[in-house]
This record gives sequence, C-alpha cells and structure tokens, in this order.
Amino acid sequence: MVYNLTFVCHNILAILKGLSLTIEIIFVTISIGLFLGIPVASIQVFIWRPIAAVMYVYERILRGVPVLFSIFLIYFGAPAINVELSAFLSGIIALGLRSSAYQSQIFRGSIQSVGKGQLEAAESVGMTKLKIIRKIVLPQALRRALPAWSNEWSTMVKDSSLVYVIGVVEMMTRAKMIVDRTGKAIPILLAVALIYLIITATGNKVLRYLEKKTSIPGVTIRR
Amino acid sequence: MLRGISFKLDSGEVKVIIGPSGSGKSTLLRCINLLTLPDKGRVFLDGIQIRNENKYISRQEIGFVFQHFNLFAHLTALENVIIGPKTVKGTKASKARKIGEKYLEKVGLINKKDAYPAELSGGQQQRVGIARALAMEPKLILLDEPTSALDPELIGEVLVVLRNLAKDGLTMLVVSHEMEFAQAVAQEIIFMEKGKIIEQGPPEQFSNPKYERTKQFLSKINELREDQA
Repeated sequence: MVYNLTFVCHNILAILKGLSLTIEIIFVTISIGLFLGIPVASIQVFIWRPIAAVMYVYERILRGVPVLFSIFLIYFGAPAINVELSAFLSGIIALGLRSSAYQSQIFRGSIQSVGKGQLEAAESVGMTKLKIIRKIVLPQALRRALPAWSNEWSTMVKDSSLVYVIGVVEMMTRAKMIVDRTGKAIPILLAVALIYLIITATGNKVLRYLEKKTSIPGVTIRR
Repeated sequence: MLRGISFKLDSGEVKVIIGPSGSGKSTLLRCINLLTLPDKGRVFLDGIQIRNENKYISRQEIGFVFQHFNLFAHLTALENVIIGPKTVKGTKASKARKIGEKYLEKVGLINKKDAYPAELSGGQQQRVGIARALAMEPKLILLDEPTSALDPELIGEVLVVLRNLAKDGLTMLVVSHEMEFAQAVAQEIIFMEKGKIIEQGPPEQFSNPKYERTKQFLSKINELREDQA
C-alpha cells in the first residue's frame, strides 16, 4: 500500500504534465459544443424547415455514430482530402461536433419548454424572431438547461481521454505510457480516475452554484 | 373560421365582443395583429393595411392583452413592461424606466415593480400585462378575455383598470363576458357566433336584444354569474 502510494507520488508529476492538455481539450470541445449547439437547437425549433431538416440530419448522424469513429474519420480522412490536421485538432473537432449534437438536444428541450404564450406576447409588442430568441427564449432556456448540461460536462471530461487513440499526449496517454514503462497499472489508473473525478465534481459544483444563482424567484422548486 | 366580418373601430372608442366559445372571437383579435394569419380579408390601421411585411411596425401600434397574461417569466414586473420600448423602439434605459413606472403606477402596481411574475397573483399579473401593452403607447389595445382566467375575487381589480383606461379615451377592442363592464364602457357590443357577427349595436340594445340567439346567450351567462355569486 505504502509502496503503491510512493510509486504514484513518483509518477504524479508526469501524469499532471498531461493535465493541462486534458483541461484544454475539455474546455475547447465543450465550448465548440455550446456555440454550435445553441444555434442548431434554435434553428430546429424556430427556423424555416429546409434548414431545420439539415440540422436534424447533422444532429442525428453525430449522435448516432461512435465518437471513436468520428475521431478516426477526421484524423484519417483529412489527409485524403488534402487537409493537414494535427491529431490534437482532429480530436477536438470530432469531440466538439459530437458535443454540439448532444447539447443541441439539451437546448432544444429547454427552448421548447419556454412555451408559446410568451413567444406570442413578445411578437405582440413587435419583436422580431431573432430578438425573441435572444431576449425571451434563451435567457430562460439556458437556465433550464443547466441541470441537463452538467451531464454533458461530465461526459466531455471523461471523453477527452478518447483522443488517446490517435496519440494526443494528454493525461490518459501519459498514464498509459507510465503503465507500459513500469508494468504497474492499477495505482496509476486509480490516480488518474481520481483526477477525472475531481474535475467532474468541481464542474458540477460550479454549475449547481450557477443554477441557484440564476434561479427565477417564485419559479424554481428547491430546498 | 371567420366569415363576412366587417367593422370599424374609431379612435377613442371601446367595443366589446361577446359570444360562445369557438365563435371566433379570439381568432378575430389575433387576425388584427397577425398572430394568426388570415386566409383572406384586410385590416387597416389609420388607412394603412396591416400585412405580413409590415407586421413588426403595425404591432408596435397595437397592444395585446392575453387571457393567460403571458408575462416573461424571467423578468420583473418593471422589466416586463419596458422590454418592448427598449428592444423594439430603442428607447433609452432611463427613459424606458420612467415610462414603465408611469404605467405600473397607472395599473396600481408600482410597489410590485421588482416582483417576478410567479410572485404575483393572477390579477396583478394581468395588470402588468396591461401595463406592458400600454408602455408601447399604442393606438389601440386588443384584450382577449382579460379576466377569464382569474378567480372571481380578482376580476374586479382588472376591470377597474380597464374602466379607467376607457375613461382616458384609450381605443380598445375587448373580448369579454363581463356584461356589466361591457354595458358600462362600450360604445358598441358585437355578438358573434360560428365566425359571424349575429348582432351589433349600442349597449342599450343588448338589454333587449333583437335576435333570439343573442337573448339565449345573454341569459346563459347571467345564470352562470348568479351561480358564481
């Protein structure tokens, strides 16, 4: 036990070297997902049908195929169409797009929950569609999306490790390298799992705080 | 749904539309500001036809008060009232605030200006709804059964506000079953059924209606009132 702990301590720096890249992957991919997911959802709910149909196809495909497939497809597919993409970029694009598809459905649900009455009220004072989305729908939809969105945070934290398969040297890859070198898997893997757990838990704590902070008086049920 | 409906509303006039449910009263109101697009027919506001192309402008001049209030849940009473002037007309925040306070004062809710809709009673929510319509300083307001979703003891406070607005000379087209209110403020009452106007005339006419169908309807809502009382 003590031996295992000292073993982890000796290698922790090497693991943590990958942490900053892991965190970068998490934040970049979840941001791509956010900035694409909200428009995709808004288009699906509000905009002209042909464009909405394209968005449905986009979202169905990305949610329907394994994310590993997307990672491989972009990594190996880019050179085939003469685009040079680093492993890091390929991974980020694949994970970001996948996240946008998932997030679009989180936001679609919360956007639809705002209800027709308020939309009509906004129309009745002369607001255009874009203004209604910005001023009436999203401020409420984003609040309502928070609990479901915290799931997406957990998913992206963990799935950031998948870029391991194309050789991006983030935390999981570094851990695996240490395991390969030393032949001792369990202590290292447990240490890495603990770090992922801390990241997801911290994020969820922040989101929970945000949820409380932005709750609308009289509307939200809470203890 | 609506057939052969034609009428005029003069500036400063109040008309009340009555009729059984499904008779097209709400549809008629909604066709005026194009919340519902009519298949046929034309609506003019001060000689300008209201069309899909100019609806954003027309709507600024036509207030709408909803049966179920439809306040913006994430905004305080004051914010609900001033979001129209601010985002649609581009009124500056400080001026919009003054306008908002003026109209909240008018509906007797200045002390609730920082409350959120969910913290207000139905009657208070509807008064905010009226202030929101007024804050755009429209040429007329359309009211779609403004008291139908309210408990009987809350109806009075909304009707008082509407009476005062009528006294101020605001142009209003009201769908309502409150006959006493209609008799008191309307220059003309319109009785509709199955998408058509059956009878229309000054309030006195409705004390002794010409048509049998109107009589039946009026005695029915009278019965309902007595049951409630």
